[in-house]
Amino acid sequence: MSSESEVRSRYLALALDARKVIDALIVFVDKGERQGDFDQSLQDAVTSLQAVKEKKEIFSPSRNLLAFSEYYEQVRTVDEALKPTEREQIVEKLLTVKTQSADLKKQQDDAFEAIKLLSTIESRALYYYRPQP
Amino acid sequence: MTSEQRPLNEWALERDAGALFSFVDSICRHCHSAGESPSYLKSSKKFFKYINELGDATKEYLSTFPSKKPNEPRLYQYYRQRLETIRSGWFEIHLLIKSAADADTLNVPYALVEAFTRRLNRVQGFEDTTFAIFHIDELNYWEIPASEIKQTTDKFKRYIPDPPQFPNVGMIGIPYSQSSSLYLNCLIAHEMGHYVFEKREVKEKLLPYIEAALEDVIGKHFEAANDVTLQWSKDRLAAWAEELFCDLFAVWLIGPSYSFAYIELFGLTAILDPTDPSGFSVTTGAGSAIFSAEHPADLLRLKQHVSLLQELGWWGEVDEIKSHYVNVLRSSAKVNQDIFEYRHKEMPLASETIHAFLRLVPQVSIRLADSMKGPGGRKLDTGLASYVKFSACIGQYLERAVVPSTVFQEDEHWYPDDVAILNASMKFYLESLETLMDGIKGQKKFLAGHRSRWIKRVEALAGKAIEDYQLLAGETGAVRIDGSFKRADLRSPESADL
Repeated sequence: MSSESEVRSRYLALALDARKVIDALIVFVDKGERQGDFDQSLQDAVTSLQAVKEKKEIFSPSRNLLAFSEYYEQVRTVDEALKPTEREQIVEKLLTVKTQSADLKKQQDDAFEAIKLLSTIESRALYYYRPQP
Repeated sequence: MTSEQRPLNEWALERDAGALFSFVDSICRHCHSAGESPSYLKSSKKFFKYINELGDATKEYLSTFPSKKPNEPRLYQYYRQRLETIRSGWFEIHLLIKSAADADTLNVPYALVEAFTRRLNRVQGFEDTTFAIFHIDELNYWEIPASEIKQTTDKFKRYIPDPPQFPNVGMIGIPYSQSSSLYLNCLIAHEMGHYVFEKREVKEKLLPYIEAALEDVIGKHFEAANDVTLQWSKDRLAAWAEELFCDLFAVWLIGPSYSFAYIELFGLTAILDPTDPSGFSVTTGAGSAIFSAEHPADLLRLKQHVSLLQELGWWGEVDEIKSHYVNVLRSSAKVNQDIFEYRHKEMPLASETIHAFLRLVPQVSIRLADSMKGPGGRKLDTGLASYVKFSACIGQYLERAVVPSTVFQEDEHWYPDDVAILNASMKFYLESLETLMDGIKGQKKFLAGHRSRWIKRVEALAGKAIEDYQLLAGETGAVRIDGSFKRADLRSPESADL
């Protein structure tokens, strides 16, 4: 019999995955560096955020690169934390950074906006995860 | 900024990192001494060692965290939040430490866990599996999903250089009060099923069938269905399928004693109703007919137990046991599927999701059969043959309060295997406890306290026999027959000739 903690850990997985992308973007905004698997992290986030809208993706066994859309609790948290337009904004801004389709200043501004939105998801997920005293 | 305020700079990060360091350190201190103690199972020690190493790596990382802060002040807040995410990860670990530390070898059903593990070790891919046991406050059994803990700690790798590898052990939580119980602890077999479900990637294999089942039930509305709702339905189906898989796995691993333990723990004899011609009554919306977010309805689960017991050949034996627990099983097999409901009826697609699950059930059985293969593709034997051979004899030993580890039958001494001992003693407990009490002066069958004493005694006798089997099965010269062993001929060659 699985426990409630299993459900709670889905929120933690979401927070950790949002954090992964935030950390990569912080270095980019601060130093202009694309460290390690920067592009892949961004692409994984884009894929996972877009997956919510694709029915076929919901049932795909291999789709879950990041935990924005693996479980209902995660989808609902993203849904609550961000308006649909904000979700689209993250995807758009991450793609601008990933494809380098603007000058560096614009990319860094977009990255900073994406950090703010992803941080909202992270905070909300941590809120649901933590036991309240 | 007032004169009292400190700027949010490296100093503040040093302070916050120090606080988290202290938090991690306090958690690790608890399992440091436990990891050294000889009174833990090897798998628990591995777990403690892992936590200690992860703690050291985290503390090392926290020592350098402030000095690596970004230069841009607007990023400060977002960098700082990383500490909170790491802290939350340690919340998860914190929950497990005391549960593991409380479960030393004197306080876990060691022999039973070993017996179940040995059977699992005969399944291909699980030859080296071991389990760490945790004590939990809830009166329930859990499999602590090793993959999710691993997933969490793996994600720490992004911050922590060279984190340790998560040990390859299953983790099972049992109620702290039930360490000496034999029968209720049969539910541990279900928790082992979760480990198998995860390792065999059964969920991934079921996803196409989950989609097909939902599409069949929802029909033309599938494409128009709300994404979040569809995700909810998918998660429910996956969770229900996992629970059912684990039930069926447990029935296969240890036989009908799992079903009886399930009926007992959840008080399912309450469905029996002598005033109803069928012998039972379950109205729509009754607790045993309700699906929760993570579990299918009890009666649907029992119905599937019966199907598998029939398929494996156990049912003929179960059907002969004179107990109202068997009536519960018979009744569940007759339950009309229309009575099942989801706990929150207002949830969109709740009813459709249950209908989709009913379509999915055969796929779960197929995945189970596929998962129970041993070397050479042969499926794990059920233990039925040994039970049939020794059940009556084991019952006679228990009736005289004798440990049935070595029984005398057909002019030979035999060591019945764990499955035979467990199920035969469960049968004795269900239908013949009175015969044992009748032989003891002053024991009153109508007193629950007296009964309880003899239930514990039967559990102790059977538990000892299961423990003995581990040793006896290794006897030089013992001959294996259907899982049980015929004792080695211990007579001297001279006397054997006489």
